[in-house]
Amino acid sequence: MNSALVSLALQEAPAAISAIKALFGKQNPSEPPPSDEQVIAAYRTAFQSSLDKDEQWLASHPEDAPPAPPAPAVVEVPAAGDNAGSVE
Amino acid sequence: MRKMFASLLLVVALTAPSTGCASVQAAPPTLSPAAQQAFKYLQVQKVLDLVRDVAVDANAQKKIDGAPLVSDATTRELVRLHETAIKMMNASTTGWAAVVYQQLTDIAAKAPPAEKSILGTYFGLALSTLKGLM
Repeated sequence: MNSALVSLALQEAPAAISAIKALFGKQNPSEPPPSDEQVIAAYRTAFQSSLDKDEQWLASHPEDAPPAPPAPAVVEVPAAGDNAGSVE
Repeated sequence: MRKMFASLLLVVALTAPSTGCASVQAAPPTLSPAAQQAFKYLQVQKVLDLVRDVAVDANAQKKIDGAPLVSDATTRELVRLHETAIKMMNASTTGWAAVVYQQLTDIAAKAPPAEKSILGTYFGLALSTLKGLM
């Protein structure tokens, strides 16, 4: 389990750092501020792609998948002339 | 690496305001009100996306016994909540942050201990962000 957790942490670290920077980071004063159009377009794109990802996951993981059918019963048919019960 | 990552998140949690709310970055004052709102929503969505993505990725990772790190049931709840949250936020539904806050709290409360150990920090980050919007 530890290796899976480490793998998960490594996988999520860039996204986590990006989210944390978005929350607490300060904008570089030398950078020009974004325009209205840039900000609104960025939000709309992020919104739609995130929504698509939700719907994709839900579609690929349906709830209450039908139970697997029971395995067929195995019936042994003894061959003709077999002394199955004989013990020497 | 795991300890470093956990330490990073701990530093973030400790540096958040003592009221337990995480304030989003202020939008540039040059933006119009609509763009400022989009700017704020984009930051909030990044945090919500993070919770969803961690759950989905953990669900895809299997333990040695073949079971996922986070169950399908918990992941499904989080994905549905994420979908609802970003739709309500996009529609600027009144009180959406409080509704999502409560639902996320409920999911976090009933998650098994093993899942809480994986998702707990992300729950905390999202709840703190939502609280700052309430």
